[in-house]
Order: sequence, then C-alpha cells, then structure tokens
Amino acid sequence: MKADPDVLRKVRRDLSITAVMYVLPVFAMAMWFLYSGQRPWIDGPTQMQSALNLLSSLHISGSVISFLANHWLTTLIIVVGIIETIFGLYGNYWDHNEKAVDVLSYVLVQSVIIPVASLLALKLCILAAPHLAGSLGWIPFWWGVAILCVGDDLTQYWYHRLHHQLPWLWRFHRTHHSSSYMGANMAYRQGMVYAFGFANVWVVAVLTFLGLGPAAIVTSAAKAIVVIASHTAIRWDLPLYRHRILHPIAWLLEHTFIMPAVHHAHHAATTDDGIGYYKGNFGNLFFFWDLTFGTAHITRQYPAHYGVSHYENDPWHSQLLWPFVKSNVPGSELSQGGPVLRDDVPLEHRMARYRR
Amino acid sequence: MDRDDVNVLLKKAGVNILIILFPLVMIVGSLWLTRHFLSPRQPANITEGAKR
Repeated sequence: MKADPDVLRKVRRDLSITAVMYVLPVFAMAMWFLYSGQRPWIDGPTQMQSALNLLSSLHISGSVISFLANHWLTTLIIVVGIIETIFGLYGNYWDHNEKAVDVLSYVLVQSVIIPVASLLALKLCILAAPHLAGSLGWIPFWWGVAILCVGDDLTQYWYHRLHHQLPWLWRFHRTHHSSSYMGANMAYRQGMVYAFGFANVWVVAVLTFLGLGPAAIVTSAAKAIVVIASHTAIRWDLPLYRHRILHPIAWLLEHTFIMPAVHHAHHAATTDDGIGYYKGNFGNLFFFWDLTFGTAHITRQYPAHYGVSHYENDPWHSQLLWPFVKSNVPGSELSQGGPVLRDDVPLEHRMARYRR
Repeated sequence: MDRDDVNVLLKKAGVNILIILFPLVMIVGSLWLTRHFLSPRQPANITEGAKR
C-alpha cells in the first residue's frame, strides 16, 4: 500500500509545526534568561518554593488549598449541573441509561482511571530514571505553567483529533459523543480505555516527576474550568456575539480558548447544516491549535441536534467498557462484529425515538 | 473480546506511546539544550591552574 503524497506532505507539515509549538515556550524562556541574565538552575528558588511563596503572598489558607485540590471540580460540576437541570436544559434525553454513563464515567475516570494512569507513569519514571526526579524543579513557576499549557493541551489536541480521524480509533471515543445533549453532566463522559490512554495525563505525570508539579496543578485547574465552560448547556457566550460592542472580546476569546458555540458544533449530530462540525474543533483548552492546523470552524451559532445520528442507547456498561464488554444493540459500532464506523443516518429517525 | 479487539488495543497502545514520547522528547530536549548552552563555561585548564 502506497501512501498518498498529499497526505504525507500534510503529516510532515503538521509534525514540524507541532514540534515548533512544543519548543516555543522553552525557547521564549531561554530568550528571557539571555535578556535578564537569570540562571535559575544555579541560584534560583525551586518551583515548589516559588509556588509556596506565591500562595503565602496571596494569603490563601491551607483549608482553601485542600478544598481546591480535592473537591472543587465536583462542586463546580454539581452547581452548574443543578442550574442546567432547573432550566430544563437536558430536555427529555437524560434517561436512566444516560445518567448511568455520565455519573459512573465521571466517578471512575476522576477517582480511579486517571489516578491509576498517573501513578503508573510515576512508578515507571522511578524505575527507569530515579536520579532525574525533580531535575527540572529549577524552571520558574510561570514558565512552567506556559510549558505545561502547551505540553498538556497540544498533546490532548492530537490524541482527540486522531480518535476522530483514524476510523479504527473512533469507537474508543464514541461514548463522549453519544449523548444527545450538552451539559456539565457529560463533560467527563468517556470510555475507560480512552480515559486510561489520555496521552496528556501521561505527559503531565512525567513532567511532574521531573519537577513541574506545582505548575501542573494550575494548568489542570485552568483546563477543567474551560472544559466545563465549553460543554455547559448554558450558552453564556451568546451575548458576546449579539452585541456589536462586545465583538472584539468575542473575537479574542474565540481565537484563544474553546468557547461553548465552537465546542457544541464539535458535538453536533450532523455537519450538513453549516453549523455543526464534528470533523474539527478538536481543542480542549486553547482554540489556536485548530486555527493553526486548519481544523477550526467558527459560526457563532449552536447546532439543533447533538450526539451520534445512529445512536440507539447502547447499554451503559458497553459504553464504559468497550471492547471488553459489547453492546446488545444490533448494528451498533460497539456490538460484537459491528461496523468500525457507521454512516450517518437521517436525524428524523432519531428524533422519532424521543417523541415516542 | 476477539482477536480484532486485541489487535486494535495493541495498535492504540502504539499510537499512544508515540503521542506521549514526541512531546516529552521535544520539551525535555529543548530544556536540556537551554541549560547546556546558557550555563557559564568552565575554563578548560581549571585543574592544571589549581595545581600550580
């Protein structure tokens, strides 16, 4: 089999741009050291010391830090979820099966899968190179945040994009797209194998081992806020598009971060209406990856329908545990012998199911 | 789980390893280079000088 030269050229181009992007914050930091004469690996405070100094200068108490470290994400999701429920933003889509997928995947991914993957990555680092523990602790705190923002989010962009563009990877990510609604409740809805393989989690774990732990906490918190803000059913960005005076702010925000309209388009059930675009908008924290690699689609509008057009409520256990547990829905991508990638079906077919 | 599932899991693991190693090599490599090239140079004959 011979690869298409056009595809090879695009792969080479994207790979080169990606390499430059990863190196860019480090290069900027090096330029800053050259300009300022700083050599923090010789005489600077460690990143942990800088972070502790920052916290004490902000007068943040230990109990606040403990809350932020342990419970804030769950609290944020519950608060946003309650608001969405009160306003009936999930419609009649959130049945028992969908609730089981959303709640169980959140609990399992956050409290089992990601901690186990991180621990495994740290253990492997300790086994492979114990002498390198903390060896990058000299990196100044805010430079560490910049390096991790790129290291974490660009890696997740590629992980996410490949699960859409390589057909044989799609089924691992399908659970996140099968919900027919948007909201804080489904923001962390994932299959377990997809979650365990989150490449950015492994990259951040290795960089934490090397000494970037304090910066990793800030980056993860920023990402979680943007993930919930972009999945929520509360369309908080609409006023930015409606009022001309706010357009510069809208432009700046939508060209930097993932906004709800952009991410809702990614979760659309169809790409035929000019609004939905599940073939792009792959970013999680920053949108400029999509802009750089040509996968961006901005319309400032919301799609009419979300999810996968041929979804027939695969049981929660198959959605969480595929390929170990198969769906009993005939013809489903998650069923035994099912298609790797099913074609879209007309949306009327699916809407009729909810009207029944 | 059949043989196809095992194959797809192995292929996914391979892709994962590449997506994890690529950023780590780029980031850690460039950090090492930064430190290497910006560190003050030691005089080449420092040991001999100390002896005299």
